[in-house]
Amino acid sequence: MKTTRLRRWAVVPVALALAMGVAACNAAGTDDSDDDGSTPTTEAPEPDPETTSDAMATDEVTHEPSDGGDGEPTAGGDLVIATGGTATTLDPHRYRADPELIRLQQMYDTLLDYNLDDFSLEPRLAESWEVSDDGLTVTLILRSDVIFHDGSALTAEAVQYSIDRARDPASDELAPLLTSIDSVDAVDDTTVAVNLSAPDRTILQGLVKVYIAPADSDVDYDNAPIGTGPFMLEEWNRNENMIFVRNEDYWDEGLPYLDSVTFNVVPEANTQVLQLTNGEIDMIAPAVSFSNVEGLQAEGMQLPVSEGGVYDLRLNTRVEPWDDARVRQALSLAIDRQAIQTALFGFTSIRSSIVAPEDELFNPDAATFNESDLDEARRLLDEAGYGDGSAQGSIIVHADLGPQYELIAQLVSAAAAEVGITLEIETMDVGTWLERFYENQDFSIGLSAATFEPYAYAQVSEGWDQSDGASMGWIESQPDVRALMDEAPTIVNDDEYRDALYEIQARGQADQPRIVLGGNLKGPALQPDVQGFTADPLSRLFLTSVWMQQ
Amino acid sequence: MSSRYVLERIVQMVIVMWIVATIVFFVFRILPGDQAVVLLGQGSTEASREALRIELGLDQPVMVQYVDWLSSVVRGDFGVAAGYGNSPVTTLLGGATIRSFELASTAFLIALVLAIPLGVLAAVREGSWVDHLTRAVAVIGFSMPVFWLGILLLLLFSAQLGWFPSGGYVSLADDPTQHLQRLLLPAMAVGIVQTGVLVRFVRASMVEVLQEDYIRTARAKGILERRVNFKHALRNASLSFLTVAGIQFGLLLGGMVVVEKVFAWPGLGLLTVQALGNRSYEVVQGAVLLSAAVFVVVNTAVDLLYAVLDPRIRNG
Repeated sequence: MKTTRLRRWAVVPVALALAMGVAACNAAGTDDSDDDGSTPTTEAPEPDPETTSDAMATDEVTHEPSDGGDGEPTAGGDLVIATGGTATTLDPHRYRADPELIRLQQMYDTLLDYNLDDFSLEPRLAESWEVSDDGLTVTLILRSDVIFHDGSALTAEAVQYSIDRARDPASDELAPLLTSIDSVDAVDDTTVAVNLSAPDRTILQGLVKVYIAPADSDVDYDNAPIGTGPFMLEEWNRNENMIFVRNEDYWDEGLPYLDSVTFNVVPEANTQVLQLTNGEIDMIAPAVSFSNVEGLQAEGMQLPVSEGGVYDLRLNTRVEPWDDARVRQALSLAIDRQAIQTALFGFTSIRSSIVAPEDELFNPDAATFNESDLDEARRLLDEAGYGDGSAQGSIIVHADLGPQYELIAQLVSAAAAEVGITLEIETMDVGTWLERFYENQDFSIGLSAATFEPYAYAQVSEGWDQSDGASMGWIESQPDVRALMDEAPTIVNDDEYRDALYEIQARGQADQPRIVLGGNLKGPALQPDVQGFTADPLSRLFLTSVWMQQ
Repeated sequence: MSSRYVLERIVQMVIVMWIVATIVFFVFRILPGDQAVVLLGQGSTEASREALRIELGLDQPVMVQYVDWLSSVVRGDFGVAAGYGNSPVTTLLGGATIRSFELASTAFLIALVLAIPLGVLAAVREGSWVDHLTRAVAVIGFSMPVFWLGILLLLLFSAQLGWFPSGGYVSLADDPTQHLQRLLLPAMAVGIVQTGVLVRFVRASMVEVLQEDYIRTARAKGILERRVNFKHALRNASLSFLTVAGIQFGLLLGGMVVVEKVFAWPGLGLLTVQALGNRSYEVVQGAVLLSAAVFVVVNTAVDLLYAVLDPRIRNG
């Protein structure tokens, strides 16, 4: 009897271990947040080097549709996608993460969207729009031939309702982009007026994010959502799959080509790869692990990538020695960005600027650090009084992001050691990382990745201001940059606007509170017979024009 | 079997479950980071965080939260899962548990079918090459990480031979053949590892029993060797084996996370991991508690079965 009793109580530690194990999983990470946890993405890590080197000769980072498109698109076919993350909701305004975004996007439309070739804006549900001379009103003219999946027509009220819902503070992802909106009016059936409290240079880009839903507060977004998009939700088995079928009444004549799109939840990256190479699925999305790229290429899979933001170091400028711009510059100069590109198999571009060099508002005169210069780095350290090797700190990394982050941290640490800066690496779970980075500001350098919207103001603002900036403590010490940052979006004159952005870039790049390590290249993997696909830097998944080669 | 014995077991079970529930609750309260911030992201407003805290009851004192939670759990109400379209947590857990149970049972069956004959054979031929080989294979079996073995099986049977699909799930109702095809590989991965564990126990208990006096007596009476081994020895050996098997099965159910992830089998383990990713702590708490409950219930059942098999226990 005694033994049985002992064994019975032995259950407690076992159960405890179980609970702990699960709690620890939290740390070890299932969800990979990009950026800083504010937008968790489930990204299989990034793509690779050599193999793709021609596809990614840095600036032509393929926004090309997957080529080899022999012949005319044909209708039909069922596309099966394996993805690591589950969707928790199909609410177009209150979603939380990329796994939701790539699904949402199949069934909703926006008023306007980026052209993926040059990031100019092009019409979607709005066939045209106009910003008034005083910059205070945006008038949108809607298409009149759009109907929702439930058969009701798209009306100005639906647009008004959707924008209002998106700018409600409960819509965390969207509300901050739409704060300049004072009111939205449905002028007539197909005309919507968006009234701003002050001119806003970025309001159209904000509207790109707003999916249009019917003006009906009773729609069950978690279970039976309704949109106008190319596909309609057919079936949703939580944790297993989500099936969309073609919207026969789609407004964009002749589209989509596919009969159906199925998202299967396959958490393990190696299994995803096996399924793809076995021909059981057609695509791995939103991104493949960079460590799998070589194998996938050998199997003849397509790997279109796009530059979805940057890998970067965020320096805490409130603490020594990082309060000294010369030390920050020295670190940036010490880093061998070429070595990082090689280590990530080419799945990063050489870049040290917050604003993408292709952007028309990129300041070509702002400082860059693409080439390492150890002598200059040592000189700067000497000048700052750290020539004796006393500059030290640690890089905090959260393990949830993917295997490449630790690798990058090691390369940075090794490069820093070359010039006499000692950097330890601390790996932790995302909760601890967020707490140390944001709440306690208990860090010297945070390593992360940022996804930027494809326009310069979003990049400088994400890069040096907003929540990240607050944590770096830099912009608070630069009142004039602070003022420019606030003023810039309200400047109506194009030249003045450019000057403001140039100045912010000049200051931020020179001071290096945020050190860009390289562009973050990522993308899905596709079977050779999937045609017409274009990778999107915002991690969305456009399938409207995708077709299957017969 | 005395009712007192049964009652004792059940009371112990309830106490264990209460301790586990308490631990589970507090583990999630001491995780780093503000749950509202982790859930909503750093860009969220203080107002929406506050609203979420109220929704989740996080604005209440911890002890109040604990009592509220415990009293709902006792009534079988795990709440609704915010991250899952507000489906009741019990519904989510129910489906996942059935699938995990199916996988674990199949794996365990495979393990028993392999382990018992092998273990008996090794014990009967103690010291022979059969014995050595069995022991070597057992060590290899339980030393293999399920993760690695799973990938290996996928590479062989799915990528090379093309006999099975590489993971995923099709419900039994939709297509029974597809369902079984997808069940078999993960079940084999777990089953092979379990065989390694169990075969050693079968062998050890058999070796011990075979040295007992009554076996010698049985043999002296001229009873057929096969009958001695299986009727007299195995039945007695199965007593201690059963205990181990019970614990193993309980552990198995709780430890399906890895294999479910590799094979994209939407069971309890996978649900737990994904719920963690979605920060749906209600689901995680429920899942952990459920795993622990299954473990405890299986062990209690084994205890009771033990008593059925061994009169000394039920009467003593």
